[in-house]
Amino acid sequence: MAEEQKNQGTQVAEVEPEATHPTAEKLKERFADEIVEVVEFCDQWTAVCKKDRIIEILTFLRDEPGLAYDRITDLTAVDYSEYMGQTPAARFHVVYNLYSHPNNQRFRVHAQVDEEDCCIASAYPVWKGSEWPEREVFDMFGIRFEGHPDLRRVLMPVNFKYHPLRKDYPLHGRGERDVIAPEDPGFVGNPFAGMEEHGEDPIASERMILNLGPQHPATHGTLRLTLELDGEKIVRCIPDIGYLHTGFEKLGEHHTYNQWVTVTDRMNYLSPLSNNIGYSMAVEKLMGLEVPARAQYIRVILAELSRVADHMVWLGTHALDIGAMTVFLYTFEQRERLYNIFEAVTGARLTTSYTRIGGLGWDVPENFHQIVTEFTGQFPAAIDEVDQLLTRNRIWIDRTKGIGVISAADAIAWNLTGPMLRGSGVPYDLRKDEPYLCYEDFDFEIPVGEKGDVYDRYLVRMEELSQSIRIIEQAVNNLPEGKVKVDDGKVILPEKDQVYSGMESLIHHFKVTMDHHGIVPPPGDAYVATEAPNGELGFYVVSDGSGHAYRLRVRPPSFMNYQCFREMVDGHMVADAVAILGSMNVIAGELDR
Amino acid sequence: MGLETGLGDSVMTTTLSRIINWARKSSLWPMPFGTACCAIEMMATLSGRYDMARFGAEAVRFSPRQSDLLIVSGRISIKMMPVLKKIYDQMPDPKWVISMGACASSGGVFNTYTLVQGVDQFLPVDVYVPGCPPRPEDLLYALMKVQDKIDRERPTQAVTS
Repeated sequence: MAEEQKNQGTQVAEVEPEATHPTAEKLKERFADEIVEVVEFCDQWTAVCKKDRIIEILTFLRDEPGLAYDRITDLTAVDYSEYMGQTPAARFHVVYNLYSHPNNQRFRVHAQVDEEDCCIASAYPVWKGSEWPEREVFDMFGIRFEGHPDLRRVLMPVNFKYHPLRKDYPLHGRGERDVIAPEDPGFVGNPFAGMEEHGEDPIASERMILNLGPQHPATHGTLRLTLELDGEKIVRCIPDIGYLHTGFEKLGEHHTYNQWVTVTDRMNYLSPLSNNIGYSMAVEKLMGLEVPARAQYIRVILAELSRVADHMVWLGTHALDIGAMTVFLYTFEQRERLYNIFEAVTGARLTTSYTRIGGLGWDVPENFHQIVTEFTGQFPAAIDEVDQLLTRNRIWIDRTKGIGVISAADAIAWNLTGPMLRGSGVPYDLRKDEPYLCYEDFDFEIPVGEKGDVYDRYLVRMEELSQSIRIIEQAVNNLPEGKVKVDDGKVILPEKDQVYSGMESLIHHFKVTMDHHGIVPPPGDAYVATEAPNGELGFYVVSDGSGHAYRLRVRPPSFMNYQCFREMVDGHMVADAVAILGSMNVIAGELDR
Repeated sequence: MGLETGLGDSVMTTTLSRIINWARKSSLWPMPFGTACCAIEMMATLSGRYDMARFGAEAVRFSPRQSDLLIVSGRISIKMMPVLKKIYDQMPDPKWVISMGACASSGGVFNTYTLVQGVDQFLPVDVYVPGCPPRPEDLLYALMKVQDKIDRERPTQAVTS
């Protein structure tokens, strides 16, 4: 019993806040009739509003000087039809996760959408970055966005009949996967037919349609581009994604919280540990858990090692696509060294599943310090070698400088994050701007580019490698002693010997593994973002107080970054499309989920 | 054999079947249909430490028309399956298929609406590689299994149905 009381003490108690959020106050003042309620949960603020004047509300949030929410970090929806057995006021909520660069603050808006009319005004005129997320919501929930420039399915085939993330659609589908679909009508024919003419003088030149992918070495898995060419110049481009759609988010509604950690491995498979960590942090936020310092340090080390591993694949394949084969072999040698570390720590090379809600699966091996410092000791020389091969290489410079330029303002409007954004000169990095884990303990810099071209993104990522090594060295040399899990029997599985010998531990063991008894966050929602190798990796979790998430939304950096590709390739040569794609490092598993 | 004793050490006799099989199995040209995590392990298999060239299969061809070994590595969604089928159909005979990893073989941990629960429903698979993802050694072993299978074939015999 004493243990029980101690455990409860570690949970952060919910305190009713007195003050309200300034953004919420301003909204209430301006749109008194539109705001249904303002909710605070886990220090995050949400305004639930009616949908009729949503564009006015969003524009106000963006343009009002004190608010200046210039970025729509994420747009998604939740189907509340089965939420805690209640009949909701509106079946769907469209969720806008906003971020303000000038004020470094976040705010969330829920817009109520009825099942009957099932439509809402598109936020595309306010933030361009909402284009694909709205298409995804249309695809998954069937909510139509009025005024959207191109409202088509984005992940499922165009001939798919249902909206999979609706609660009444079964996880295993309705038999679609058992019959081989006839050719996706979206795949054949000329997708540009019926669109307005574009570019200079369409009559004087003959246009050719070129399909790049979905099986193409430069598409890094399963992307498809349809290009309209004038000679070798790209006139228009339509990216087509969804070839690797796996249903992660639907699975999240059926798995328990700890089960879903395994699924995150397979999302960005170049850096699975980053996903593990980001997801665990989101659920810990919901539950108000603070993981011990040792676990935080280990998470930082592993997250940064993952960043190095991710950038190694990016560097190798990017160079390979542009024609430098050697770099690929060099970087994969470094990855093998990293695999050795991951394997020693987690037991697996790739699918690590190392974190648990409330800490880590187990402590790192005794020789952790040695294997990590061995790696960091030899790494700078290896990256120097690549640097000498590429950075001042004439061919490399010709292929990357001035290619795929995106300005800082455009980058924010298109919702770019990570090296893509920093390459355009915006020093936005969650590790500095919203420090999580224990990143404020370390001394490191955020490299930024100037022009926002492929070459700048290359330089930014290369410098990030050195900065990651700096963080790893600091963290591994100051690794605190202690436990790697929270001291809470209701969240963490007890040690096996205690299960065999102690009644209380046995009960806890059963409770943690039983559905609806183990990890049960209080009802509410939270959005937690971390700086993954490709940008902001966010998890938006809606809990209904049961053992699995009611809605589990991933804000994938690749998906958001890839949106502006069609604008970036405009007017470039076909070969440049490959260079730009390489600089984006789009990971299909995360893109399509 | 009687004939070889007369020919001395410099000439070796064999059957046409065996020499065709030997040629085929020693230079498999893989078509890497890599979609997800398994593709990363496949890349690791092809690069330095594991070096698939040791087994004669380093000539990776991204054009199905130039390859004879399809390595399906990764999850195959219902949107992707027609593409995969098309690629398989475009490969010239003789051809072999490795289904690498749990997802390609059975859907793996993803029993969801969008994922094909095993590509063998739509393609003839020769070798399945278990694992999520399989280690590079597993893929190399699968490659050797394909070679064994080729060795047992009788390419000179007329196909009777």
